[in-house]
Amino acid sequence: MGRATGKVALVTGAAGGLGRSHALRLAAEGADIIAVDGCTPVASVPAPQPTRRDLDETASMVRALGSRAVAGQADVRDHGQLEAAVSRAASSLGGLDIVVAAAGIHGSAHADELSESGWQDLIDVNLTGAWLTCKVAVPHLVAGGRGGSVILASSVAGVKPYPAMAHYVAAGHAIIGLARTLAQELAEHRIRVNVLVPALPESIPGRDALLPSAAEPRDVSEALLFLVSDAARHITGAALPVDAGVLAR
Amino acid sequence: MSAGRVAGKVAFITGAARGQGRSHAIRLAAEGADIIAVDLCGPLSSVAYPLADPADLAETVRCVEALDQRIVARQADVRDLASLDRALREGVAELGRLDIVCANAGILSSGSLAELSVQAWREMIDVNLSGVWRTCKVAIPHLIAGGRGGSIILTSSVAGLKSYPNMAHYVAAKHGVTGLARALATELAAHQIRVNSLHPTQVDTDMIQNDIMYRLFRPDLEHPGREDFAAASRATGLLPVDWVESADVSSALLFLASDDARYITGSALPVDAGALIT
Repeated sequence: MGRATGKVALVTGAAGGLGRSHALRLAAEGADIIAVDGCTPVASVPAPQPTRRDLDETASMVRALGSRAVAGQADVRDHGQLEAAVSRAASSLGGLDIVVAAAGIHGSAHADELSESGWQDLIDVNLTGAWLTCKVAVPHLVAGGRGGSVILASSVAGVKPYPAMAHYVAAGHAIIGLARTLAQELAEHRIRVNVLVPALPESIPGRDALLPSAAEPRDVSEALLFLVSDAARHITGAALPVDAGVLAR
Repeated sequence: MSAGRVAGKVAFITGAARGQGRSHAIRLAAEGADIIAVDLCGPLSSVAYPLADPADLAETVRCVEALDQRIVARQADVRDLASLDRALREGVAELGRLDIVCANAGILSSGSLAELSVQAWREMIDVNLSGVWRTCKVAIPHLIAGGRGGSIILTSSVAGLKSYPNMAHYVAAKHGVTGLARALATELAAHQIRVNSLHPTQVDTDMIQNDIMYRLFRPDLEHPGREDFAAASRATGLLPVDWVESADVSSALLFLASDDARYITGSALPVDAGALIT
């Protein structure tokens, strides 16, 4: 019996990176997965974004672990797309228990060089996308009457500032505020809301950790699994660092 | 020229038509600064209380000129980078320099996760967070070009450091402003430009003296009024006051803008009657 057996989890940004890692970790513990990703390039992000093929591969990998998977292509910036994808998948899998808003982008530019589209895309995806994910998903948790767990993705840049990423730092701080507000609003439904605060080398430069090696995606997924499981049943409104000690310095 | 605490400096203030923005303009002018004042001077669809109008901005102009300081006032929208950039350029062209930036423009609306519309979320993030960034975006090149350093003050809120229910968009935007101030502080220190955030509790302005706030603070009453709100507002802090005045926030802003605070950057200064430690 897994630590998430019988639960249904929505994971955004599931076509690659941390999102896929979270989906597979939850599936390995028995959860069925609604895997959502925009699968489209974001104009201001030069790095290649995952494709529909990557999203389908995440779903195949979930099924290979013995769990059910529904893949839905939806942009977290698009309320209609997201609502349609989540509603369809939740009714086919019999409800929703866990929400993981992992879709996010990263960019680097100094304050005087950061373009308006660079700012706007990041705020839209990382912040508004997280809120829209909660907006469409939480009614399913409330309707289920079984409580639930919502995890938002911030980073150590949501707690301490770094240069050349004002948009990422602002969004990271904002996501922590969002999680703490939703924790207040949703507690009466036994829905917990927490934030993950990782320091992964690809988004946080420099080696300012205490431990000799940096956190990897699987470490973040372990923390996520703890927060969504009943082991964390009395933890809400928390921001959990998975940062090898970056914030403790 | 008066020998005030910001004498000879030029300050750019958004949301300057009334409330805290007008108070900042008057206080900085009283201490010798010239003012570039902008305000939307119009309504927003998700904001249920009346916003400032052109007559309010004209009153700010009158108040600053009565103090024998110069002021360039423009209607400009913090959601529109081009209009903000144009207004500031015109102000700097006329007044000759830029030293102080007060990103003050902000709005309030409310609603639970289920109630809050996508439109209300987007407007809030666009004004209270992205609008603050756009203000910095247009101002930073002028500060750097001046080569004299500068002081940027971002108006966050107690809600930028702690959370309140039924205003997730406001709390998120204000937390974002807190982060933005700290991020810009790390980037601009080399130019001797300081960046700090202010965290007021309820301030006695039109943004809080309205039915939305009254209902938010007194969900127990059907038709809460100013007195009902006052009691609940007072309970959020430690000091025995119902709320703080715009002048109190302006005093903190003046300190951060002045050379008295020359080694203070990246700080988050509460003006909250103790609300953060309740």
